[in-house]
Amino acid sequence: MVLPLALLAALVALLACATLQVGSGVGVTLSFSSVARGLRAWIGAGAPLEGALQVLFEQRLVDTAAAALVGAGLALSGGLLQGVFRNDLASPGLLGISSGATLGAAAGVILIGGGLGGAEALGVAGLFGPALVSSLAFIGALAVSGLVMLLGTRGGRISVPTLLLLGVAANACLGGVLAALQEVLFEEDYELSRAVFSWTFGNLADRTYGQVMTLLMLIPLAALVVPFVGRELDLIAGGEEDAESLGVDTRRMKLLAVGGASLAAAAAVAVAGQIAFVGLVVPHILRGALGHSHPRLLLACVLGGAAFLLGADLVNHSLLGARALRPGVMLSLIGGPFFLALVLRRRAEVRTW
Amino acid sequence: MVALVVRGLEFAYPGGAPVLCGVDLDVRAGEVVCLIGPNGAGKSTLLRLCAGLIEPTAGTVSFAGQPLRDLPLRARAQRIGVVPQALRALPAMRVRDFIAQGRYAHRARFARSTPADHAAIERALDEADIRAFAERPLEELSGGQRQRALVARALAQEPELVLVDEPTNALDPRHQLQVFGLVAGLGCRGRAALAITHDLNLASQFATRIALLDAGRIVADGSVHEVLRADVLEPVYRTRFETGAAPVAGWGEPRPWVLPWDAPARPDVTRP
Repeated sequence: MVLPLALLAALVALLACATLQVGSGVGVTLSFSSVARGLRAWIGAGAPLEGALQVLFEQRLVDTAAAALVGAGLALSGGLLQGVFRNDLASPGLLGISSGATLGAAAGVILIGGGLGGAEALGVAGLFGPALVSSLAFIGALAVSGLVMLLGTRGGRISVPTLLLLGVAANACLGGVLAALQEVLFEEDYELSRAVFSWTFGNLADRTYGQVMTLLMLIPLAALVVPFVGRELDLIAGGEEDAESLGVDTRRMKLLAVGGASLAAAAAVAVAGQIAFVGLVVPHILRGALGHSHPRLLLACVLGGAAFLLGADLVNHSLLGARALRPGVMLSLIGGPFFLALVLRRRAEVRTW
Repeated sequence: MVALVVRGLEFAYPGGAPVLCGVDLDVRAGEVVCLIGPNGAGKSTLLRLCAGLIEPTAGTVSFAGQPLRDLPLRARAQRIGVVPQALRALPAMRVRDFIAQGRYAHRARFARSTPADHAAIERALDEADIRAFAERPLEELSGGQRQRALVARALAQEPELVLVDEPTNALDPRHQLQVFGLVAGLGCRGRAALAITHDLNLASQFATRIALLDAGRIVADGSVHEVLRADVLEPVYRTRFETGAAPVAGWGEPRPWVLPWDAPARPDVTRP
């Protein structure tokens, strides 16, 4: 159990270092020793890099940490949901988490843009702006996933097929609202429209310390459910009733797992906007490599998600430079075909008793 | 020394017709009770109620003098094991890991497995005769081998009462006898078993008592000689039975055998 996790951790460190060096691919490329010096200066143990480099480095540090934590949160969320739904096609987008967050963020953007005088406020409002938008995104995500869970629960039992359908319905409704909003905004206030648009396809650049701190609190909090649901998720492989006869409190387990998944995904989307596919594919890849045992798989998801998003962003920026795509767009482009392949392969292996 | 006491049990699915209407049933320690009855009589529902997996509409199920609903899930799973007919899906794991699931209720959350856990798992592997494929994934097993893995998991659970739903469905005669012998063996060791079966002759061989369920009511409850009689079975199953007595080696008195034997509507082969 330790070796694969250690390897994944090493991969995260490696990719984080590379991201710190390359950044968004258009600016300065820092040498490894510059990165080390920047880090020392950042913790207050050395002289800062020359001129504006230290500022640049520290922004990269924030963005890198944000990307790693967002990836970790999305993959953890996906791993938990796939376990609880006993379906490898489940992902954080499923429960309306992503669209709820986007709508919350849009509300925040409009609030600031409208109340504080135009899109200028978005950037200039500094700490306050991103914090408000992220908070509203977080509230939106939890509100929608909470509602979906509430409607999908009958007599204390979460009905998996109902939940899936409710998620689809919620996504359709919220998507419609968002599209309508965009259409109005596009006519009324182009800059606001752009700001909302940016949320729909994710953004990993120019994150704030506050956002990273929020992620640093919420993602580990969500990961705390792992020791309490890991073995239980293995035991429901044969069905909920079977697990109950073995002594598993399935209600508590589902509440913890779906709650943890919602928290992790809500935090991630609230900071970086909608980034599809990470939550779907990372647990899937890791399951192939490490097997189905959830206590291990979920911890690996945290590290693997961080590595995956860092790696994807790095490739995006290195290959495309100034023309780099938004992370959500890029991952959707890879994700669509991958998902297709997944479905086609799954057709062959229906697991019935 | 009564293990399971069922009194006035009624059950209906919401908005549906009643499945069980006033069932009384006792399973005492040391007994192997076979629950028989036609399809749709409510056997599986009764078994799930006895396991506490669903709540009755009326009536009570108690275990060792305590209402089942007052037993916490984990404590219940330490004392009552369930062998379902089949699982909802096939878990992607090795047979040994699957059987180890039976130890879940015996282990504290953050505890490592104990020598007792290992011993129970090894014993279950041997008793269910599946040691040969203990390290293989479940999906590589045949239906009958999976059935034995399910039984083995319940054995590893070391319950005082095991509730079994048609354990011999996919088994060849040798393994039918073996699996039923395992279930019955639990009864002999001061534990108890309640097993649903359609195989009346297996029931005859292994049951200490047979309960016959028809349309949600227990219509006969007694020894194999009292229940496995044509005049008892025929109105319930609505088919004719030939009956007789067969000696079972080492069991003393002969046991009844029954053969469903109705003159079928013979296909008319003369017509083109």
